Amino acid sequence: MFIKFLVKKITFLFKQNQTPPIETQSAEKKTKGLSDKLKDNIDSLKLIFGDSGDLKIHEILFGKNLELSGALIFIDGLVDSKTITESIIKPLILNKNIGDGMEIENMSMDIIKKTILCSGDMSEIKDQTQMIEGCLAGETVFLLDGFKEALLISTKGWEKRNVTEPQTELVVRGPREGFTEDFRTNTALLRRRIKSPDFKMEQMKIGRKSLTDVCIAYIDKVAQPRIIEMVKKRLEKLEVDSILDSGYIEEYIEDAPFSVFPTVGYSEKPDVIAGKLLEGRVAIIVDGSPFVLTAPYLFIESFQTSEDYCIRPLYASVTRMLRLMAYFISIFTVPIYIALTTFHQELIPTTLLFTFANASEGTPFPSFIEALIMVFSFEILREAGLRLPRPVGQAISIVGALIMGDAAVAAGLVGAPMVIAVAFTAVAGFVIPVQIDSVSILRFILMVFSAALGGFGIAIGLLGILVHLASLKSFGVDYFGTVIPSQDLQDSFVRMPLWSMSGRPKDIAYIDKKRRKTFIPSTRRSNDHQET
Amino acid sequence: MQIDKGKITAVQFMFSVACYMQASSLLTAFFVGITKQDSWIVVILAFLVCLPFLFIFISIMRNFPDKNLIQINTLVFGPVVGNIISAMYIWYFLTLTSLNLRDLSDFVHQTIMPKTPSIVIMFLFLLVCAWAVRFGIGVVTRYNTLFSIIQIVILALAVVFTANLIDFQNFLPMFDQPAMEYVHGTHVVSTIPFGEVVVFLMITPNIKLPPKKISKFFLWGFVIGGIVLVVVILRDTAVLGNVLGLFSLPSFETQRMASLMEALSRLEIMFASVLIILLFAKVTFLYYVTVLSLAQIFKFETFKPFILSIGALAIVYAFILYSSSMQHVESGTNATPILWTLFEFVLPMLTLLIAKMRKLPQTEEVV
Amino acid sequence: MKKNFTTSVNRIISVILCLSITLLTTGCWDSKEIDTISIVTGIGIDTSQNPDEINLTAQIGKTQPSGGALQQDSAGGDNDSFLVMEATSKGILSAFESMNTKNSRTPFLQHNQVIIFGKEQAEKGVQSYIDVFLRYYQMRMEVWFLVADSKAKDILTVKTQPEKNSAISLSEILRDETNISESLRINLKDFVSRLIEPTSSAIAPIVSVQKGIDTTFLAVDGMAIFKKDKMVGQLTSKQIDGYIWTMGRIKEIPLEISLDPGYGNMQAFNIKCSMKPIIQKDGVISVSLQIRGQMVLDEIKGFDSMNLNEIVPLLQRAANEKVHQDIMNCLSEAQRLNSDIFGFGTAFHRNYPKEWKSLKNKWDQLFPKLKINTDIKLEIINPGKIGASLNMEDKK
Repeated sequence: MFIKFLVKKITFLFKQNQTPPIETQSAEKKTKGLSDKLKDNIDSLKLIFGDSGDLKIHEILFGKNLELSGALIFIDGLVDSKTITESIIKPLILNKNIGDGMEIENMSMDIIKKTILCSGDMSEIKDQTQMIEGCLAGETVFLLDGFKEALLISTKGWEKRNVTEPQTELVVRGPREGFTEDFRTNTALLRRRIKSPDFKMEQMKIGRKSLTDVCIAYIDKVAQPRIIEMVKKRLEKLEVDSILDSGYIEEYIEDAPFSVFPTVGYSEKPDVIAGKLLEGRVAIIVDGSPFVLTAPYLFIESFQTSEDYCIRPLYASVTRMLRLMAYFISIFTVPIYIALTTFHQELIPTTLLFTFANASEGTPFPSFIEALIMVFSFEILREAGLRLPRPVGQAISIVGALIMGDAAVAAGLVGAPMVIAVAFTAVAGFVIPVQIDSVSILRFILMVFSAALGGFGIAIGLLGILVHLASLKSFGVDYFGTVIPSQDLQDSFVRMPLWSMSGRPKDIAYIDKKRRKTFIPSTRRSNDHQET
Repeated sequence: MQIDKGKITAVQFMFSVACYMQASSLLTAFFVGITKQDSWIVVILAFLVCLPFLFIFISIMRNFPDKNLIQINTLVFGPVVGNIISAMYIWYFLTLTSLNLRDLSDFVHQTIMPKTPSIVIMFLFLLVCAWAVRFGIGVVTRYNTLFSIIQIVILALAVVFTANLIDFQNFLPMFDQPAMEYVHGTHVVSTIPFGEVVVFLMITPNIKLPPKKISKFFLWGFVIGGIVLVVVILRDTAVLGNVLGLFSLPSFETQRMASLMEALSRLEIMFASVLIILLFAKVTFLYYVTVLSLAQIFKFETFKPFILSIGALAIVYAFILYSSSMQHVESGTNATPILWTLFEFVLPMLTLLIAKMRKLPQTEEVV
Repeated sequence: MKKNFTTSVNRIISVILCLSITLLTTGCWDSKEIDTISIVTGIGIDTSQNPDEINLTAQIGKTQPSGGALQQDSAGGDNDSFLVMEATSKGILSAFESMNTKNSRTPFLQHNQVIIFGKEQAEKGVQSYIDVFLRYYQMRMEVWFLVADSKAKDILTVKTQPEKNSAISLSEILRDETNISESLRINLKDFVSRLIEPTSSAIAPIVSVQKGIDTTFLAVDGMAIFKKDKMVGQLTSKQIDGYIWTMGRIKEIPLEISLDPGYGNMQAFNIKCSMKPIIQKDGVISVSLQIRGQMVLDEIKGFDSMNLNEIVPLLQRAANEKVHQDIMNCLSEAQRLNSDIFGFGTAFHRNYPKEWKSLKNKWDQLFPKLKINTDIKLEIINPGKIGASLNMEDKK
């Protein structure tokens, strides 16, 4: 009696502890083994897939007396049909010795796998879910009547884009390869650049429906385990049904979703990602997306381009400072213009003030409205030009920029200096494509501040931005860096020569902090020259 | 119990001290009215007078490396007296916050936005400060290095731009005032910008450095701040001459005179923006210290609940402190320095003495 | 997770609401669109019939609309670059306020270039009208301070070339160092600095309208001498040279020497002047002035029977003599008016702070008897591009 009661109690407890219903269902599915009847297996498969037209079930008879019947199951389009013919069907059908001198009971999948089929990647499976997943991933399932096992043969082969030069990060000098939508190609592109076994790629599947391959790549001892753990944990937490692009992942794992500043980086170029990996960052490769994510992502990375490291340091530093300047110009020009012309006319030199006054004489709107109209129409033009085919886009920018701007000034609707300010702002904004969203939003916020409170408003806005930047963290690393002082300054406002950057970024790298053991000052290199 | 577990580096600490003092360069009107062209002498004198007290602060920091001022008070003076003294300090911090807030709003009011009501200026400014305070010491002191360097660069530029207006004859005659004026001026300078560094005793536990090495950084920060103040006074005197004493904001008038050819004239905006930035750093720090000490005294685990209420209090307090800026200068020259002496010099000295007598830090270690 | 999300959304919304309420409901007190202000470029102050009041003239820069929008013509004549407004009132700001009723735009004084006092008003006293220029937040210290040779209004209404706006053209004249010596450029700060010094007297350049061939132009010639805040006299252009030499802030100055045998024109440069107040043991005070400099010969005429080696020492001596004479002329004029325009009193104060206490009260008696000892050494170091003159060679 007592024991019965106990058992009841325990089973009840177990039931309570059980995982949510969706998981139990999948668990049940997993445990469903294959039947030893070929027909049963095929029927249940047909039941699961329904009328999917791309599911192909190819039944074959083979053996000396054609006593063996099997089936090849695959998804059309995901497999390379030539491989199937060459390495599966041909060996099976042409080989009449199968089963010869052997009782059918003694036959096994293992023998078929080892002696007959000509493929490098095969595995034996026993349950239906694995079979279905394999099918959907582009593998071919080989079923044999009378066996509870199935063979999963790798026959992946589908149409994919070639490795081409990416459209987003064009370079004059430096590698031109770009990632593609294909997962394997992307990992291979990275592996080809970092051949060390320390370079680890941990793979996982995310998305209940899409079952997207996602890979966390990092270099052991260079990346901090803390950051790797953080990335993994955030990825594992994802409870979504589909991941269609790395942008989805970015949005789910970033630290500050409502910030105007991106806290996860991306790139389309393997050399950029390899560089970031070697700095101790973690990369996330997502199947189906040519954009690979990196984390942690710091503010200053927006101003670094891959080309900076390919050209000589002096000019690289100059261009980087130019980029920083363009960033500030792009945010602050219009707000400052508004503040100057509506609040602080005393700060404009007298002759310039008369120029401004002449321009705004007869324009009907206050500066703020003028700026709003201009900035707004610029954003519209940009959006219009972006999505259209290139020739049409050009036509739009000509119509918009030249004709509309000129006409607006000529009609006396907008002052010419305002057009100059907005146009300059716009051009400067394109210098840092990564930050373009933060630029246009911050510009707008600051415009409101400066229209309400002039220079003081701009100062308040600026301080607010600074506080926000200081409080932001990307995967536990300060987003804005430690500002000053830091040895990371070597690669921030300036790009020091590579031989002087012996350390990896201090905040990010783990044990292996040095890129090179000894520091080679330029003087010693000149000595080398003399010795030889 | 340490409320804010954030850590700052020694260099950040150094520049925080410097930045804090640089922000006070606005307040020169308090003593240029007293000592006129000799004000720079007074600044140097005050600097020298403050050095021994700086070492008192440093030795307090060394003795209690993991305690802030409020905790030290409780430890040294016992819970009752200690809490009374801590409460006084909180009042002192709050007053400083409000005073600097008031300074900022008066400055903005007098120079760039005469018609905008002070409440808007203070409210928006304090809102940003409150936001920074929320994130703790790391964010509060994060930019001080940058701000400090920017101010030095702008100061150097301003000196260059006013170079053609500088007349060294303006420093003559030296030592022409009655001796009491120098004593008075020195007292004002030593209490109003210099002695205020006592607030840094509140963040001792947050400095990522063994307390023995702090002295160097504290001293350097103090020296940078002092030098900047001397340079500002020297420049203003050399440019304005005997007109110096007339203005309530001599530095601002000097900047207005600055020009490098016609195109690069009217540069006061540089001064104004740097001042707003520096005062932001200073007010944020004081605000943070007030909130932190309040949380400490009530033994809270976080200071966040106090932020908004203290902010509101600071704004109201800033309004009722003085009815006009004349009154502000008046009390800045005459009343405040005497009161501040208590907080900046007498109490720290007393703390150190009693701590030494009771051999406090050692017993703490044993426990 | 969900809770975090909603709280952060709430927080963001509340911050946005807070900001937009403060910005939208409160902003814009100080905002003034650029086309709602009239940019005042010059202020003139004259006497009016009522002794208690002044007649204020403001020159306002006019803007020409660019682009297609046509603007109605406004008062002041056709195609003028400025208009002039007048008002009579007790104070300066009240005068501006009374102008407001006639002007659709509010006056903006931050770009004021010049303050011109009419001669009559300067003689009546300027101090009571200077306060506003220091106190009012729109006034700047670098504005030029001038005295008109008659009425300030005449100066501000005149049309000049190439700068149409007379106030701007005046400030250009004063800013350019080749036009005018540094010690003659008086901005408000210099003027006030002299005014609050108990012993020294302020000076201000005098501006007058002069007729050119087909235009009128403004000339800065002469200096007004103030005693306290009242104009008491003026220096002629010769005496101004003396003043410039005494004050010593010169980079280059032309010297013109007329002698019996001929005429020479030289450019003095590299000039170093040092002024030193001296109190002798017996209490006699004097000022010693040391001038060192170099000259380039630019032009000679005459000197028929002489060669260059003879001419140079002659001119050199004459130049030194002339400088000395100028200084003395200027000093005697200042002493006649008992106005310490050189700031000698301040120099004594700075160098002899102890003795100054007794000198200070007697300064009015001491200054008219003050002696200047000059020690002038100007040397011709360069005869110019040619050696001997054309007519000299003929003689050989």
